[in-house]
Amino acid sequence: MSALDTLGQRLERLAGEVELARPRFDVEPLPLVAPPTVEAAVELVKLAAADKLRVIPLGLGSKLGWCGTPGHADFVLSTRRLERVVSHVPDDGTITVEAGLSMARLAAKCRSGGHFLTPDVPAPARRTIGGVVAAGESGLDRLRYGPVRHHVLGTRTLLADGSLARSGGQLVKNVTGFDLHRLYCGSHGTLGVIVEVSLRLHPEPEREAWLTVEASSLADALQLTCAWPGARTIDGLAAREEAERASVRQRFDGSPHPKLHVACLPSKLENAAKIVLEALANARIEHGVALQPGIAEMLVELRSNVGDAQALSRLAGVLRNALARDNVSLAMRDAPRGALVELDPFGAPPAGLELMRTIQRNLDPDGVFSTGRFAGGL
Amino acid sequence: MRAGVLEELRAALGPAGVIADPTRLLAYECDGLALLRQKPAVVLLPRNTEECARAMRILHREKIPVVGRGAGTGLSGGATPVDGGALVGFARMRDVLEVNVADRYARVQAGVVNVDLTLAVEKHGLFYAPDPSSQAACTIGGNVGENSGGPHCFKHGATTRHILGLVIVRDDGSVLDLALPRPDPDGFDLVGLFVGSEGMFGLATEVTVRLVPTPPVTETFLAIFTDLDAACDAVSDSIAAHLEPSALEILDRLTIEAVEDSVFAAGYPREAEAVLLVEAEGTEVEVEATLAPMKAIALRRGAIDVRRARSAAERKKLWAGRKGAFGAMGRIAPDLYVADVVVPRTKLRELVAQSTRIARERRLKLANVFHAGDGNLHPNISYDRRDKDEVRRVLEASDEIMKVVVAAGGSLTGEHGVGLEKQEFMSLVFEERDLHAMCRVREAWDPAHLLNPGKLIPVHACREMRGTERPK
Repeated sequence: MSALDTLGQRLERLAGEVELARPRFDVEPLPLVAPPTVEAAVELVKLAAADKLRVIPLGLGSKLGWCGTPGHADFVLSTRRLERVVSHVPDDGTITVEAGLSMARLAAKCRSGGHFLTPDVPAPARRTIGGVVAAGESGLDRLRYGPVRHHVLGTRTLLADGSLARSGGQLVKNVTGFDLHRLYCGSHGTLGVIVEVSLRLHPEPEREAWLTVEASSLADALQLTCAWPGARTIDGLAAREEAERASVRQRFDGSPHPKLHVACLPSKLENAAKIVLEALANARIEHGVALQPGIAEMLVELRSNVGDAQALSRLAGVLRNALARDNVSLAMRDAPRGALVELDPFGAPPAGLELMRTIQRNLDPDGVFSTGRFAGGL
Repeated sequence: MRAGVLEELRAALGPAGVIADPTRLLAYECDGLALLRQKPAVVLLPRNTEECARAMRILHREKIPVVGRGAGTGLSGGATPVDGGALVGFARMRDVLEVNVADRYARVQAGVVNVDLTLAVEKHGLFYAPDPSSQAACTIGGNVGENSGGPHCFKHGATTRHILGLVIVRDDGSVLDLALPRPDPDGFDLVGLFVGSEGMFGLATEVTVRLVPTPPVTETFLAIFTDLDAACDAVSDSIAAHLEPSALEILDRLTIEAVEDSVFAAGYPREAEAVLLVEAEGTEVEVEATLAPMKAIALRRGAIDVRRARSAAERKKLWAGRKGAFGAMGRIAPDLYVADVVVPRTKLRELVAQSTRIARERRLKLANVFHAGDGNLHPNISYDRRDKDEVRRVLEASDEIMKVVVAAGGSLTGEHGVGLEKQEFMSLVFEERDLHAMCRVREAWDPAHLLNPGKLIPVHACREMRGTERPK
């Protein structure tokens, strides 16, 4: 290797090809590499560690808009070519796959053994299992099956020093060692790159049914679903506005508009929704709403009249203050350029932030994966 | 301990909160793993988070190691004291702080006994799902530390799936308040990471738990086998057939005899080589849809009879027998060694047979009573700790069982934890780099290694001093 090699050339040698990609639509394009093997991924991270480079890991990048604008980064590492099924034991109800396998192909594999894949995410061909786990993404089936972190039996994670560390295993029950995989779930790649995931599978249901109730207004729908005693045991019961069933399932996936993600305890949702929707009405912001009362989650797409980035940032700030009393969280997804300068998309700094920083520093002293995109600038 | 520290601790916790009298300390020298004993220098019994924090600040300043203890029912030595260290017990923290029926959670002090939590909420049609066999004694805080299981974790998942929030007193006495439940964690999932950390990340003083609605219908049946292999195969078949009852438990002949001779007598047939205890819950339709094929599988695998509990009282009795099984084993020999390995559910028969062979070769009495649905085996070896040679053979058998299980793709522990007992076997399951990552995370919580030092992580991995030696 010549000292004069550019980063692009060195990356190319390790990963085969390099393209340019934007890790978010509001930052300059960066070299993106998709190593064909875990071993190649290891070499790439070792290169980053040796040269003190910063890396943004991703799968297919569908949830980068959930995160903040990264600080300095040198290249993007995609797991999308790591697609091997490592082991599939239908009779034990478990599967282990490389992280870059798309949710669509993973679901097909699970179906071949009579199981189905949770979470039932929108656009599964555009998502990898590693990305879903790393972002802690849920689907409409969360009410019945719980969050994805409950189904992860173990992971193999590529850490900043280039080591591959396992946590958990492939068994449905196991308490051997610290559950570091729980730490990686939902950490958006800011502690390492998940390269392998083991999952517990669930039998495919014999039958599924959708029940749609037309309501004359969103307020009525909200009241109906929040008052319905069964609303917490019926899968995916969702109130919606001007949206077809398909788009409820899509949950505005792929839309470029900014979105508010509201989450709280079920009893607080009705009031939280009122606060948010009133504020949007007052500001004359056109919006679409997808609500899951059973898991107390609301997604609001802001379609027009949002104003400039500062106005949006202010709106989020005002709403967060109004919602804080009920411990309601409000995250901003796909915020436009500039809106995140003063706004953490995830909300107020989390309790235990100092400890989180220490954990991050201990696993990644040089900050290879610490690009400040996650909650509290992690 | 430096002069004056005891007085300072007494001032912080009140005279009843500090035990230093050697005779009284004897009660705390071991947990359920009675093979390992170590008297602590002092036992502290705080009444709330603030008192616990105060005590921890003093201990941290004095660099005194700390071991947390719920009810001491743990079976891996997780609560074995450290020489010269303090033991913080939660026996005076037994308050249910809040029951939120609408949002289905409860907030409790760490010393609340597992079964008392369900008793406190059942009038609302709710229950706390994880149900270790020791649930009449073990505490929620201890369950958090060990990520405990129980028969119904087959359906509901182990403790970690039921913990929504925690208040943690850190190594230096600072308080980390993560009690407020939300659907997803803010930032890194510290709560998920903490559960099962075996007292090495901090002391949980308050726990927010998820409550589950009591199912409308619960049915239990007992399938009776003349062959333990056949009972194992019936379970493997039902997993392969995608059946999801709420519990699938196997008891073998020796266990049945012990239970039937004890106060827990449940009416298990003495002529059986094994019984399979099956429970299903849900709506009537769901329960039938699960139990009918379960029954067919059991009969196909050679069950000679399938008996359904006809009343709640009968059901209760069947479960009392199962949960009393460990206690009942006391009739066979004074001491009981409970292994806790997990195997893929496709290999139940093979590995149950192997453990039996391993014990038999060493002339040991092995009884099997286990969470078959989860592949979580409990080969129980009865012994007398006064017989040194027998103790040696017990440990040898336990080592051998862990080795064959790991070689078959299994793990060391499903619900009892690593503690001191399986520490040296971690290297069978994990490589140096895996353990190194665990050490790095542990350093973030406890850089001075004062929290339950010498447990879980094998000595060579973190190059730390061992608190207690494994018996020779």
